[in-house]
Amino acid sequence: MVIQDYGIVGLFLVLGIAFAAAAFIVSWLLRPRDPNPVKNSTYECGEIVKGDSRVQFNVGYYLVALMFVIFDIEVLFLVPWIVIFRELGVVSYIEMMIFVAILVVGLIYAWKKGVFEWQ
Amino acid sequence: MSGLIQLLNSHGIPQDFVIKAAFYFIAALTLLFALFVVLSRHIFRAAVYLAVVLTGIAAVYLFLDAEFLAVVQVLIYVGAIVVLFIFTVMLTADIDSGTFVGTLRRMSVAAVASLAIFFILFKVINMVTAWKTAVPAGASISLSQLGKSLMTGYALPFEVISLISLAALVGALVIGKAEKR
Repeated sequence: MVIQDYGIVGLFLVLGIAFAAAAFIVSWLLRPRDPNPVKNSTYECGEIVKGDSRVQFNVGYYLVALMFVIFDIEVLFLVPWIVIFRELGVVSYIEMMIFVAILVVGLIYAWKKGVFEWQ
Repeated sequence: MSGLIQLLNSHGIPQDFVIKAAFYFIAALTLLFALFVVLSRHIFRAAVYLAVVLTGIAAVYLFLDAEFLAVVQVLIYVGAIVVLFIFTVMLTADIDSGTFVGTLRRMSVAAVASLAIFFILFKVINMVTAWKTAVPAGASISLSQLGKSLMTGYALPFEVISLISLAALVGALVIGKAEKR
């Protein structure tokens, strides 16, 4: 069974959520309730709020997100490799480097296409 | 981790009970958030709820001893697909400005359609497999076993994955860039 090993992960998750929730609950219990329009306005680092938080994003972000998905898959295959890397040594290292190199070609292609240039 | 188990055992709480309780809690939470995804009137919130649902499914995979599948679920579905959903919402102007109100006609059609899909899936699963409640012995493959077979027996298919990803990347860029100009 694998699940026992992840008990500690679950514990961290529960404690993490509890910590964040406790901060909200404690401040809710302690703070005075005295709202006014300025206090209720959106806090934007002390600046006067400009417009709505819902703005249309630059399309350039979407291409970067698409590339992220591909390289996320690359990272995914790094995971089982990391576990056995010491055991298999140089051969698996070369295999993984070929794997990464093929995807680096895609990165260079994207670079040449100007995905990382912002207008 | 063994310390944690010892702590539980010293208080007379069997490990089996803890695992079962954790499973039912996570399963209930996942179902609850799945309902939120469907019932939420804001598409952005629905996407965030979907991230919680997919994380819950990753936990269910862990209960089934499918460690790698759980990693896939968190890394690809929670990490990338939901981000893509959120980006799509952000890129589309005014998609989130009004709340969606369903008419009775639309809701009844949607109910019929989803019920039909549910019964088809139920029937197919019932035909093909029995309802198993536990992982059969020897069915689980550890992450290191998977890595070893990926690096030795399946080295060539493994490299082909990289090529397929490259093709997908180039294709996405060709389509994405063409639409922009």
